[in-house]
Amino acid sequence: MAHEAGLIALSVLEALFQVGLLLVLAPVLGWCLDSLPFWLAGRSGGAVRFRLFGAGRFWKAVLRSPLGGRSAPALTVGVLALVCLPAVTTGSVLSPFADPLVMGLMLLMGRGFLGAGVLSGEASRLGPAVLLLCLTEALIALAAPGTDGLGGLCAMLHIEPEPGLEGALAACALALGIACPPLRSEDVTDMLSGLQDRQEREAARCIADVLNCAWLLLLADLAWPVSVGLAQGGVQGWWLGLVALVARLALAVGVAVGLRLMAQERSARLTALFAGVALLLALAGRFGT
Amino acid sequence: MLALQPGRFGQAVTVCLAALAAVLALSPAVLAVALGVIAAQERDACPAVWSVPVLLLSVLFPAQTPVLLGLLPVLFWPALVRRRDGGCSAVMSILGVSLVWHASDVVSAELVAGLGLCMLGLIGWSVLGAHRAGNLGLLRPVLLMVLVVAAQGEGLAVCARIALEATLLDLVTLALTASLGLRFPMLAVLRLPFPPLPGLVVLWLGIHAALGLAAGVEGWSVLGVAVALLLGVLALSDLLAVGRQMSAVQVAVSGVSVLLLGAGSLLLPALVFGMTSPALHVVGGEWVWPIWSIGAGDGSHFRLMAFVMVGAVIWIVLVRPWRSIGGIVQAASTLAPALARLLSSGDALFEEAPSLGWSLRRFIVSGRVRFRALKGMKAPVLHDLRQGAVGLWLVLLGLVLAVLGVMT
Repeated sequence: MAHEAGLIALSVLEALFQVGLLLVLAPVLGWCLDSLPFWLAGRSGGAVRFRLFGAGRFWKAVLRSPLGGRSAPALTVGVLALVCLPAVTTGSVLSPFADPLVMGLMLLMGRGFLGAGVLSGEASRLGPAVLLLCLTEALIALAAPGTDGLGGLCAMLHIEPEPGLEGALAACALALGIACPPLRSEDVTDMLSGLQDRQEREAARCIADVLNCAWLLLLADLAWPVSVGLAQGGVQGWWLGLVALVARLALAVGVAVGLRLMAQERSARLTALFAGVALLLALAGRFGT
Repeated sequence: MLALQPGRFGQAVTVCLAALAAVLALSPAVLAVALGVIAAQERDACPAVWSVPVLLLSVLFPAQTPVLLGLLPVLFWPALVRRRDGGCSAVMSILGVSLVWHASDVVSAELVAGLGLCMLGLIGWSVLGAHRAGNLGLLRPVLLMVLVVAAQGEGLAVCARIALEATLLDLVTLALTASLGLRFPMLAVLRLPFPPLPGLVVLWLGIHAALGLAAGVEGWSVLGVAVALLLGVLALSDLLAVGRQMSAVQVAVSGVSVLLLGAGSLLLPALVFGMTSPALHVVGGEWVWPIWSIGAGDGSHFRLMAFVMVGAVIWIVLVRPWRSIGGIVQAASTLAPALARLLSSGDALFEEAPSLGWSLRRFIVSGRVRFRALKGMKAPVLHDLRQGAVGLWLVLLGLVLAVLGVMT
């Protein structure tokens, strides 16, 4: 009995640690997404510490006075996704909630609540993204029936590797990243047009960072599910999971920046191509065995 | 449809639920007669040239796949072609579901293909014609019911049960929005495929039912994925339909509607599954009442209540709604326009006819010219065909090889 209670307390602790770590990483990831293209072009962007200070000010303000209006659901959605998605290991207490379809649709909804206006091409991103999420869920259910959400999928792939499904999921994640890339700072500026209050603009930028971090984590989890550690891995497995989390996020940021630099984002043809590749890989894996 | 006047919403709910219960138990012949009566009452009904022969055929040959597909226009003509919303369309969905339910020996694959073609045709027609598509979500209960029939035919009881759960939940949300929609237009939000609304539960259960069928039956792999994508398309069309509804009626958010929305999203799935659990139990599976976690039959679970509660805890920590009076209603009233804007952003697709590319136009025109030339042709002038003999043999050989490849 005491043993079980200890295990539950450990999983709760892990969930809290995970959300804390990811909330600290969110401004860093946002800085990478904004500044890496400049840096690669030989120019210098702002320093990362300003971004971190901004996030700190935002959270202090949230603790002092409550959020209001649209930004509260947007931030709720981001934090909920960060606490639910499997990050370090699958042993976190809320990881059974992480269904790719549910998480993806929730994050897409959160993007709509971010600013007063909607981005000009948001509809052309929402439609393909919803279809791709349905395809992802379908492929998981087809190739690995019996898995419970993303956490179950990670655990199952550790025990019984399935290259066809992994390839298909990576292609799905890539297609999702092309069809619905993380919000850029210009996008957030567009969405905030008409908003005068400086604090509100800062808050919306921080929330956009959290949403971007959650979206990238979802894509990274889909693209490389084996890198999530097992719940029974012990201390060494936990540290490996932590390193793999950082590597996974770095990979996701690198791919997102690369797609953006080469102007391949939001390309309908590439989205369709990778969705087709995913379908083909999953069906080949099914018929091949 | 007298019952669907404003002010009589309680009666309307009763009528819809009674129709749901009664019609599912009736015989196909009675169904066809009811369909004829309703079609005769309807102003914008399907043209009689089509509906009268199809209704006659459906009485003579019930449970034939082509006849069933032919009945679809009769059912959904006012809602999808005339694009007139109303309580009647929800009743038509119920009728469609019961038609499929009673037709036990239809070919499900053909029905899925027919429904898919019908949907894609309607969407393409409305994109090319630059007008908004009707409420395609009405077709989803029929599609889900096809899954139930297919799973029962293959002997997959659990899968049939999951699909039936999705069907019933979808029908109840349709009936609720149709009957209470005049009083509380906000309730249309319940059909959106966003967590934690029941529309997402329907989508999730539907995808898992389709893929459960694919895992159990050999020939359903591709078809299951296709059904999942069709469900996604229907969810997108729901987004458009609800956005249109919300922007057409400037939704005033009242406390009661927020309460109904919250209770609906939290309790509706559990309530519907609990109330229909005898029917679900007859179809298959053990006697359960999924409150905490909704199972999909293939091992995955959707823990809706706990999910909502965790989200609510985070939201309460961030907002602390007790600080302002009526904080929740106020928050909901700021959310409604944002949601409407997000949903109506997709309407741009239907606002103007697509300008086809020059190559496509050239292709169409050249096709037309060739067609005219074909009509004007008197006697065919054949070339000397003897030189093509090798080609003929190659084609025949290819055909034989293809047949061999298919057979093995």
